[in-house]
Amino acid sequence: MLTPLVIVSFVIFCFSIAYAVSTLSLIALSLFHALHEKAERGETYGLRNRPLRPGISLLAPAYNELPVIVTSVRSLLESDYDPLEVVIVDDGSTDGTTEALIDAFELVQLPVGDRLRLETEPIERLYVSRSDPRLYMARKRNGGRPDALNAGINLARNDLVVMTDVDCLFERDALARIVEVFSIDPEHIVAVGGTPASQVAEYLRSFFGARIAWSALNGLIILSGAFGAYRRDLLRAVGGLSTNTLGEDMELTMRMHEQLRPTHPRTRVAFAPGAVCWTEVPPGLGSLHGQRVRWHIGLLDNLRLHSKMIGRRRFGAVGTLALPYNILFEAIAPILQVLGYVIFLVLALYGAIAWQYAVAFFALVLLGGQLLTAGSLLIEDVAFGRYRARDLAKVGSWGLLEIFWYQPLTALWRIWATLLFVTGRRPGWGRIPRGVALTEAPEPLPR
Amino acid sequence: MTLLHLLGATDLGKQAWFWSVTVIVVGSLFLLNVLLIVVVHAHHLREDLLRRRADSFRGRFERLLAEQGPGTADVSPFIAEAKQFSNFERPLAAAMLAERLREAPLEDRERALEWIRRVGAIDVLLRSTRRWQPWRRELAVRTLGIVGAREAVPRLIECLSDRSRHVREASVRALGRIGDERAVPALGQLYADPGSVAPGVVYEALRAFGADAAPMFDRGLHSADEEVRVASVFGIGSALAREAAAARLDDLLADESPLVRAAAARVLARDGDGSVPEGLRHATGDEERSVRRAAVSALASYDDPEALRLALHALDDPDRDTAVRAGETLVRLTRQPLVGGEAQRAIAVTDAWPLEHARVLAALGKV
Repeated sequence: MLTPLVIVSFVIFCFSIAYAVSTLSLIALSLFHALHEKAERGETYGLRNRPLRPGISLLAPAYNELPVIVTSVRSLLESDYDPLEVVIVDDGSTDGTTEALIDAFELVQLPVGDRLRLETEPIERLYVSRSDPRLYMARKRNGGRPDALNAGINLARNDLVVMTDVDCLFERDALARIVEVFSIDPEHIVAVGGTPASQVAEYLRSFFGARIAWSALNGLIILSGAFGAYRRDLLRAVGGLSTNTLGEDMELTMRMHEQLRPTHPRTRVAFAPGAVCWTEVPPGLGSLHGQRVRWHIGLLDNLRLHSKMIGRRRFGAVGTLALPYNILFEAIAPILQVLGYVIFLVLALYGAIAWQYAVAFFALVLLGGQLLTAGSLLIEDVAFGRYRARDLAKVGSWGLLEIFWYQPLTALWRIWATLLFVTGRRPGWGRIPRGVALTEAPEPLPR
Repeated sequence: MTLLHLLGATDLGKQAWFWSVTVIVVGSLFLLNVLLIVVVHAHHLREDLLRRRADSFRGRFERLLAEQGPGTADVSPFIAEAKQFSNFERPLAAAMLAERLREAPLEDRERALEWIRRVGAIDVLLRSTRRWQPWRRELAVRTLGIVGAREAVPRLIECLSDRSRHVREASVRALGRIGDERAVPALGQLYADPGSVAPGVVYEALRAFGADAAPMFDRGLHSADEEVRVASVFGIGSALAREAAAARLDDLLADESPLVRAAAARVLARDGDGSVPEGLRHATGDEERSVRRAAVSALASYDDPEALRLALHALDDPDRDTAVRAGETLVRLTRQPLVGGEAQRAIAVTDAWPLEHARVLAALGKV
């Protein structure tokens, strides 16, 4: 009776070991790169003022953001970068967001015009600010975040487009640091992700632990929706953001790999860990649950949509490493995790638990998880030092406690998301926007 | 528990070797965790202390510069003080000096350079270009460039082949900033054979040499590397006299690379004047939208009715950005002495939205 359970639990055991080894390898690679960068740039690292640096269009969609919109837009305009334009796309707000912006920034109307390349819900009005002509605002019919961003991409005039949320607070040099990464290889780097910082261990592990390594391997399959920079010409050429998947940021990044890498193998999607915007995590468990379910459905949907890259060498590390890693340790892991809890309970009911082994296994999992958190904290402190000592202690302890409640909870949420995905109970099946066939090399950006 | 059942060794827990292995693995992980946490906090504490020490030194060095810095005749008190600087303080001092002199007028920089030579800092900086840490080499190279130390040129040329990209780029910039002609062949070689330093960085340095760099840009126009050709277009625009440059750029508007054509159109926008060149006229109907955008923007520099005609035509371009630029060009043309009146009359009877767009932006000072 217990034999199948034992076999499954053995699989889970091996899986845990594989997860720990691969994730610790990613942390080690990230730490190596962070230390290398520190040795290269040192403490006095200052950004060079590049005479030919590309202009940036900062796009932020807004929907019913009245309480924060004016201060948020002021903060976006305070970014220390030139040439800059800020394009706020009001996605049909009903709370007076548009009017608040018109009053605060003395907006004057511009003709919307035609020949917009990406299809979106209609733009009703377009404005430019009299008090700060770098600010544009488009008022459009409601169509969701990706649709609003696509409208912004249509209107953007600068070579680089940075997509963000209105409630993100950019560090003053964040945009310059993004451009610094583009300038390393302007011919091949097509997108660069920044770091949305918050005092949560999970974010730290994800951004400093894994993304530096994935960037070094050229296997990044997602840039944060809160801070991602793309080349405008490519965004338009690949058809903009998908309005029909939940993980539109991941979908866009994966689509860029899929469409570009077969013809332009040196195409890179990079990560700029030093480019930081501060963002808020969901305020309560309800919002967190919604966010995680959306993310997981988005992940599963994108793995399905871009399955042709899996295991294919022509897509580089994305096909051979990143996608297999995500299938194993992001898509399948929650199922095995929850199965493990169930087996544990069943064995406990049958009195078949060998407690000494259970304790040893639990200690391994706990210490392995904590090692990831500690490694990420070390990377953060060595490379950037943005956190105070007490924040480091707080984030470290939080990471230790996560295993008792947060990880089981998110595993259950992700199982729920998987069920929704499998039964098709989600907002429409995803499809990939079809852009223009990319037959030419992307234009290099000014250095 | 899992391994136990599979191995059929239910009494494994009683065996000493199993517990030894478990204790070793769990203990190692525990120690590694403790070690990492200690390292994180020790590193944080160290950084905090260094930050305070650096702040304190900056204040002290600021006072020292004010009392005994550039302009003082007797440098011996400064030298006596500087000899006390630690390994940690010297790069801070270099960075502060560089920062103060970066935007300083030439006269101030020359006076400062003289003082820096007398206190022996150039030798210290030259020695620092050989340090093992790349960031210290880069800082030394950058500082030598900012102070304009000509005696450092041979060493800076050697640094062009440093193993760190940042040091190589800093050397290129430093040589461009110093502007000593001994650097031209080495920079030219680097420009012709890209790879170790991006052509755009070398282009910026070469531009500082004015007409002396023109032959290099000229050769660059025939490079197999597209990026070199694009940079050379900008180089030709800055190194040659307006008329000579315009003739070359007109030819380049027929280049096979759309990037080169767009770059040529952009440079023509800066160096316009006179009648619209034939190449630019064709470029406004180029198959590549990036070329059309640049060409339509360049029309604003030509006080020629042909520019007006082409801009009006571009209002109907299928590319939105080209049409928007056409509107802006038309508004700009109204300010030209010859064609301005005609442009005003033409746009008065045109109701295309790109024109209205440009008028609003012009009222805000953006066009």
